[in-house]
Amino acid sequence: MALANTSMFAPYKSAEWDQIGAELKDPTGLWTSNYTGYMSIGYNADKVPGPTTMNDLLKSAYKGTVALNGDPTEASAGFNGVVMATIASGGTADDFAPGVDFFAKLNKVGNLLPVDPTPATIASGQTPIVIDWDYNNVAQTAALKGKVSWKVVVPANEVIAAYYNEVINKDAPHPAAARLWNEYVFSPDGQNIWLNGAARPVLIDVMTADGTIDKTALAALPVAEGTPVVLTQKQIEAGQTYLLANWSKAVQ
Amino acid sequence: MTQGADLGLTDVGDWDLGVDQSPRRARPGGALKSLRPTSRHLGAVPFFGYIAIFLLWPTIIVIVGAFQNDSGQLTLANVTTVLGGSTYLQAFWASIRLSAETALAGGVLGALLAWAVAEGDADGVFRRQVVAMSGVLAQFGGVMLAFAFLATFGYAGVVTLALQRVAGVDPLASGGWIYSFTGLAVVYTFFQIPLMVLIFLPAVDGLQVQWREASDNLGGGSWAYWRYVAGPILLPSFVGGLLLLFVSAFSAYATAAALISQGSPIVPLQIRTFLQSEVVLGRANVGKALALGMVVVVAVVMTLYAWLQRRGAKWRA
Amino acid sequence: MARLAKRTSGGSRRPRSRTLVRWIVLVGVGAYLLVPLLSMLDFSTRGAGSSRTLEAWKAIGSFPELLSAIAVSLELAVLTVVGMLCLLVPTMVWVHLRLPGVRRTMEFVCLLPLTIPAIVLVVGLSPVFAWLTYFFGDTPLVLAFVFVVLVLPYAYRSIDAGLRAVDIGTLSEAALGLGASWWGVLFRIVIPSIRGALLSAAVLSIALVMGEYTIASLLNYNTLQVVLYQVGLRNAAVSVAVSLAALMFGFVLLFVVSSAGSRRRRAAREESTLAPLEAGLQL
Repeated sequence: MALANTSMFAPYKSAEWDQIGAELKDPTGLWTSNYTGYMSIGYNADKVPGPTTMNDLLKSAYKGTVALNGDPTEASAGFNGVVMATIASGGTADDFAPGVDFFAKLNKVGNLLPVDPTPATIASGQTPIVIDWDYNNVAQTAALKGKVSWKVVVPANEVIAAYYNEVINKDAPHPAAARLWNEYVFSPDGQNIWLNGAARPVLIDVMTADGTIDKTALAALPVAEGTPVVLTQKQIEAGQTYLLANWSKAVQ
Repeated sequence: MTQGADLGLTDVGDWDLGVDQSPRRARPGGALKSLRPTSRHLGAVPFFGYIAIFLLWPTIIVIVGAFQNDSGQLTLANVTTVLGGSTYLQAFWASIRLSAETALAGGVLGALLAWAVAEGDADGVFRRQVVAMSGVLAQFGGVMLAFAFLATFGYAGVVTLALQRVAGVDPLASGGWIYSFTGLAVVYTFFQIPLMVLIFLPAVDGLQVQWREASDNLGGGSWAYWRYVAGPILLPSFVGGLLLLFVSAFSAYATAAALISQGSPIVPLQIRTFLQSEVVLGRANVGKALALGMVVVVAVVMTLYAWLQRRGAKWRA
Repeated sequence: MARLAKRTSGGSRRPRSRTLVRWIVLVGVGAYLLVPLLSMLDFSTRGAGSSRTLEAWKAIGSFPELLSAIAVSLELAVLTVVGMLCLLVPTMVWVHLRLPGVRRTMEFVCLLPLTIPAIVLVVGLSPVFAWLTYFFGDTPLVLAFVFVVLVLPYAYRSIDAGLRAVDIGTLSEAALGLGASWWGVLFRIVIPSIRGALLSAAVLSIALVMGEYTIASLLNYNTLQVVLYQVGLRNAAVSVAVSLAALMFGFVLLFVVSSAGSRRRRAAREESTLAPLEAGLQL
């Protein structure tokens, strides 16, 4: 989304800008990644057995239980859920076909629920399994403590990350405040707030190294084995095209 | 024109003007022809100007946009994407099928209900209740109908729970039928029936009781009456009603949008993807091509309807 | 040989089989329509175990976004009715009296919103709304401009039914001949004669605006239906309760208006509201 609208942004480089990796920012400062999560499988431990990988979800024990957070042609979480399925099926991020086929199979065996999971559906037990960013699923664990035993797992070697970006609007009514906010977001305090929400701030490695990281929040993050896969712009566009042409009929 | 004295013409109902109440075109008279044609037409300008801004301008944007690419150049690419993409063709087919099936189901049941209501007192409480309830359900339901449907057949719905408790059957065991084509068909029929009631009532009202009596006196029974008298008279209105029901279902968005949050089995939901997606960008004009397709389908059906109306007019009182 | 048929007199005595069929249809289809409404009532009053509770209904007040959305929708309804009346009534009367040739065009135009459904319209509305927000600021009330267009089919048919039922031509000729001005004719002759139809048109417009979702949601304005959907994602019982309340509100509105006309019809020689109401609803 950022790349489509760069004409509306004002370039800005915060104090920590240099510490962010080159692929996670625009060279002139028009946009900067600020946080990400990893795609995860959240599940209701009272209702279903705990899955460890995506392929587990094809088993009959999960009939009528799996919900993807959002339609992949509309929402980023849904889109990246398909990416996770692609990687889990042995494919690469260049071609989404294995991922879409996975969900088509999931739908065929009756395990896929064509429902947007919401706090209401999770609490009521209507969506016992939710594929979503780990920070969203972890938030549900906290919210439902005592009512529902909601657990989160990031499948090993099927780790997908996608950064959300921070931009400043060229026509911002309060330009100085906007830039101050940008500074705050990338400062250790701001980045630790993302961590408190179970998201992974972009400066996580830098802050772990120099000790400014909030260690308790860091320890509370779900364990993720394997190198995270982050899509390039080209892969994203190819994926969008493929999904637009094929998703709807795959899960009919 | 003189500014005359206050003549106290407030409640016309108090005057017995002796005019018959049948609809008639205004007779051209002296006072009415006092202005030249151009000045007369000015009176209609505000209305048509308003329509031009708020109805015609957006429509033109859609129609023209369907033939433009992102930089504004004319192209057929959007149209070929829609016509060549199986997802879109499937969506159109699904929309047409859904509209046709629910129009038929709703039309038949609604016509029956209209007949049953018309047999009663034309001014009675019951009829007014039916008209009011039908009006709300048919025209203004939208999102609320989706909730009604979920409250009945959803995960914790009344019928679902009853089936689980009484018959031990869980209709939602493998995914949700309510989010599939079948679910859409059921909820659409729910508003098609009252819509048909509203459309068909005047036609049934128009059946004179004398026709029934004449048919009975000539020796025909119920079957003969319906087959030779009422049926042919009602047929244009019935088919016209089916066409309107088709258009209503084809154009409907709110109920489907509230019910189906994932997947876009029908065209209006496909258009939603183009308007709302945070993932698919720079392809908005394909959405306009889809919208144009919808307009084409609806225009064809409405033309059919208009033709039918003219033919059926001779039977209406 | 023709058999002796049963005599029916004036339709008040019908063969018993027809009455039976009539009742079967009424009960059957009536059940189909009433069951979801009753389900909504049940769903929104479920308590722990199998008890009944009004928790969900009472909780409506604790959703400030819901209350403000109801206010916004009511304001939009009023604005739409005013806009519709100001736009349609003078024009329709003018066309009825002075421009009968334009009548067919006007009828066609008023049916266009059915051929150009809201979902299609909203695709092209962005530039229009860019201008509207430029002039009026970022308020959801600018939706009223588009809602007036959406209610046109219903309002036009309703007012048309009213105009046809009373011989406006003769009445206005008489008034003009007696010295009334055009505005006098409009406000003192026509409007009182078609009060029932105007009321029907107003009520149909209110019901449509309260139920409108397509344009409001795709242009990101928080009207009642949009917020209702959002609340439904968090709390199903509350949203079902509000839906039921809104449906009942619409029903009461339409029912009361249809009754108002009927009683007056017996007292004076004005037409009823039921006929224009039915005319307006028939698409």
